[in-house]
Amino acid sequence: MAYSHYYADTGVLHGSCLHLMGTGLDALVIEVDKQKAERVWMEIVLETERLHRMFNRFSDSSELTRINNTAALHDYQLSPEWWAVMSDLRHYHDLTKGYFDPTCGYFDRILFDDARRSVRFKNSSVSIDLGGYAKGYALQRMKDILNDHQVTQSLINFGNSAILAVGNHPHGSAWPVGLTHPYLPYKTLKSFLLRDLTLSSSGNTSSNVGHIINPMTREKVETGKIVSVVSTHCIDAEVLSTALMAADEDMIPVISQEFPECQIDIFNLHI
Amino acid sequence: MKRRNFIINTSILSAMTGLFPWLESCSDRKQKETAGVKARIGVIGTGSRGTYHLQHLLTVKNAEVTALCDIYLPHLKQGAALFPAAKTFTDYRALLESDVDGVIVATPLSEHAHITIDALKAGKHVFCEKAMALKPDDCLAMYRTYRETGRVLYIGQQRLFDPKYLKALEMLHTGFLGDVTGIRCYWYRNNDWRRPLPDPALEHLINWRLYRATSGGLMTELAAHQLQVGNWAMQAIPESVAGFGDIVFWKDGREVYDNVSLVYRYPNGVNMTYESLISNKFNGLEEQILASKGTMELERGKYYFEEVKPAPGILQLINQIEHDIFDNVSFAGPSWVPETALENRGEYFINNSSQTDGASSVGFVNDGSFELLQAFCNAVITGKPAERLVEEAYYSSVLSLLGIQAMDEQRVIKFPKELRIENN
Repeated sequence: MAYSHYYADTGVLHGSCLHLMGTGLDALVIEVDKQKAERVWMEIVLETERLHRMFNRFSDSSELTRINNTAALHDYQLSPEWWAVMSDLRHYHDLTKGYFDPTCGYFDRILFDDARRSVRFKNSSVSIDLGGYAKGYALQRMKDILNDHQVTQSLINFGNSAILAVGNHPHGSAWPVGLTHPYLPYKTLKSFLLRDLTLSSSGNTSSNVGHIINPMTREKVETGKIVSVVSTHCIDAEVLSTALMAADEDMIPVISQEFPECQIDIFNLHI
Repeated sequence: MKRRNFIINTSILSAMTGLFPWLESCSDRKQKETAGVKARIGVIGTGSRGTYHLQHLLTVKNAEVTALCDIYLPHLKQGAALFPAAKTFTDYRALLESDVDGVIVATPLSEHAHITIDALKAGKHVFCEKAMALKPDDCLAMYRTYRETGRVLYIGQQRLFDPKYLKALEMLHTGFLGDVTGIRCYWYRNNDWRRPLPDPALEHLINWRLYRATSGGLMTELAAHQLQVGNWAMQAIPESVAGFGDIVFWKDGREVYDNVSLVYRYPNGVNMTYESLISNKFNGLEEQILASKGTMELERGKYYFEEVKPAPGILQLINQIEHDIFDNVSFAGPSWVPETALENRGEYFINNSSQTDGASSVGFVNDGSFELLQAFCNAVITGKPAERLVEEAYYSSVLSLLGIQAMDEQRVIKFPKELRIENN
């Protein structure tokens, strides 16, 4: 269930939704027209729910599940949106030298048919998981929605790890957002000033260690490292923070130079 | 006792003064205006609550306790031990003839009205403990005297100065939890509410809370606090009350109920239930505000969304925008992990807020009492009454008394028009 409240004095709509794409979504929409702000929020919720259904690999009815279950048996003809997503995955896999891998090390077993816009998995060990991509994709769609409605000030927090700042804070030139130390929650690792930028963070927390896999070794990444990426492009930020989290030290500069527009911060926390 | 500062950020306090005008005397401006000046204070009633105030007064910079009064000499000595230089009296009228600027009335309830009225008419500023009086007409007489004399009158509704309540009510009134659809207030203890007696002949003097001639029992001693919170949340006054009360467990000769259960009905149909008993303490005390998008537990200092829990930091950010603040808020970090537990742990209104189990009959630490007293001393110096403070206290006092009437007569009592102070 989505919650929203419009603060009339300040023209701030706060929307909040739990358990969308496995995480929480909070949005601040700065808009003097209350009804417009509510429409924008509802559109964001509906779109994110659609993407949740589309990308959910745990749901029997999602298209991702159908792809995972049948692409090893026969060519899977993709819808235009899914073809764009699969092409994007291939692009980022190449750009990150294989460290962004939604199949945990089996990406080269996906056969792309560019003419027919279909994919086939070489065998049933291939399974796509869009963690590290889907939130960036959703954030990009939210940015489009805000843009479509000419909303010029907004802050969207998608599960703390993906934050979109549009325009500026009502009392400042940008949105001030601090990166919290995952093991010392009252400590701020770095403060960012975000204006028309996305901040994506990847790393382990005390309660969630080893959810990122190094696709080269297929081992869990269990270091205390945190990678933060600031970019104008939502998916770039999301993909790069995940890839650099998984990447070996010597590959970090190699991958980073493929994303010259991104501001990268890596924190090695000794835990 | 360590001196405490008003713990709400001054910029937030300034914004709150608009919403809660009685905070004006806590403002930076008033603090500067009264700096270096001391209010000469007399305390009438130096029993447990009076001593609690005296202990606070030891740390109030702009107060000088110059007079003490009690008809019971051991209590008077107890007060004098804290302020040895203060003159002592056994008749409050003699104290009123002294050079005090303001008096604190911490006597049994039955003494509040006439002492307060006499003090106001003597030109003194008055801080009177809640409830205001034992009869609604006496509450009204106190209110009228306050208005006629133009003196300062404070009533001991310390929740009006408790930072967590101020923050909570500010948040509630923005509507962020939706419409208030119900209020549940309760206060449970498990003790006989008796004080030890050095001599059985002193039973009515020491255990005045247990007898109808001097006390309204649970309604005037406990409910008056919580009914005020309900009215504050609703921004309205109930139009009727019904309920039952009895002496269920402590059948020891007392006359006040040890078990009460009432419903107060607001004009818009919202009910505020009130329960108190002193033979089971499992639930402690609470004022729960039930709203369409969430619940507040004010004593606990927490609120709970019905369905969603916004990410930490977002509400802080909204709060900053509301108060024209631009500052870093830290909430970014690695992936958020959904809470799998069904338990809704809620959020605190403010960090490090005080909490109590409600067992004490005297007062609790950091419950706003200090701030209330400090504000009174400031007001004594400036001579400026606190806007809306007495009105809040008046209605909660009268409502507690109408609740007793409803239980005694076992019928629905409508709030009498003649007791509406807007008409007086």
